[in-house]
Amino acid sequence: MLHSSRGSGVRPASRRGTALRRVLTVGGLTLFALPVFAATASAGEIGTVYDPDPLTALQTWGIYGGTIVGGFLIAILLAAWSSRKSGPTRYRPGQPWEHDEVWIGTKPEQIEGERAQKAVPGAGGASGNW
Amino acid sequence: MATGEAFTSEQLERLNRALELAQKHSGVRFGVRLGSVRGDVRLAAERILSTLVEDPARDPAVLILVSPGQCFVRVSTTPAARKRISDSASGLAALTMTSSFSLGDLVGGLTTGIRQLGEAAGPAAPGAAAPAHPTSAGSPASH
Repeated sequence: MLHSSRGSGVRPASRRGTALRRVLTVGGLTLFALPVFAATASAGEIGTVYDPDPLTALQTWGIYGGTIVGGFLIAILLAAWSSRKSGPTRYRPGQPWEHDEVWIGTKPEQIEGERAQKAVPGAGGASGNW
Repeated sequence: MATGEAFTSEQLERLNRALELAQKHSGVRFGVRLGSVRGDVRLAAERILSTLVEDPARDPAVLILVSPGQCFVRVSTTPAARKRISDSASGLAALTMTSSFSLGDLVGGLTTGIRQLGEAAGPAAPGAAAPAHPTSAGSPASH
């Protein structure tokens, strides 16, 4: 019985990349969230709960619109950065395969002794298409 | 021609592990080649297969030839391997692989196919050494 090869060890480089991504994400969110939360400190300048000073149009747009737009911008930037840093593109059936030849296992060039390519009488096998 | 690597290092590791296990289990040399093929696929597969072993009539070997761009897979077995892996078993493995390939899962299809072929070959004869397996799999090669 063969055993599954899933869940094999993750390489240190990719672990470092994941850790860096996490740190940058937390850092980015902190940079965005801190000024927003700090804005409440200036609440005294806009009156009291019982007698609030009216917000200007710019302030209103800044608070209610800027927060949402800023959130989206951060999400878009993170997604774009993450996709640029990601590995090989996933194979999609029907699209051209634009990679060099890939060998898994022993390449014929690495096997000792030069072997000429020849037909193999009696060879078997099967084919499939998708 | 290349626009980056075809597989991540983790995917290559998975494929290598599956190949090593199948070889160790069955004593049959396995090879997987991904890339385009010109001309007759069956003949091309046999020609490549003949370079994997010294004497194809005596040494068991299996080549899985996949052309993702042309959407086909060919499982080719040497006469010695054919005695252990029947054409119907090869066909079943090819069917399994194409099912995954059609969903875009090359690595999953290959690992399952390799495992299936290794199982079909059965355990290696006692005392038979597993074929040598250099650890340079997955690197691009030019033919």
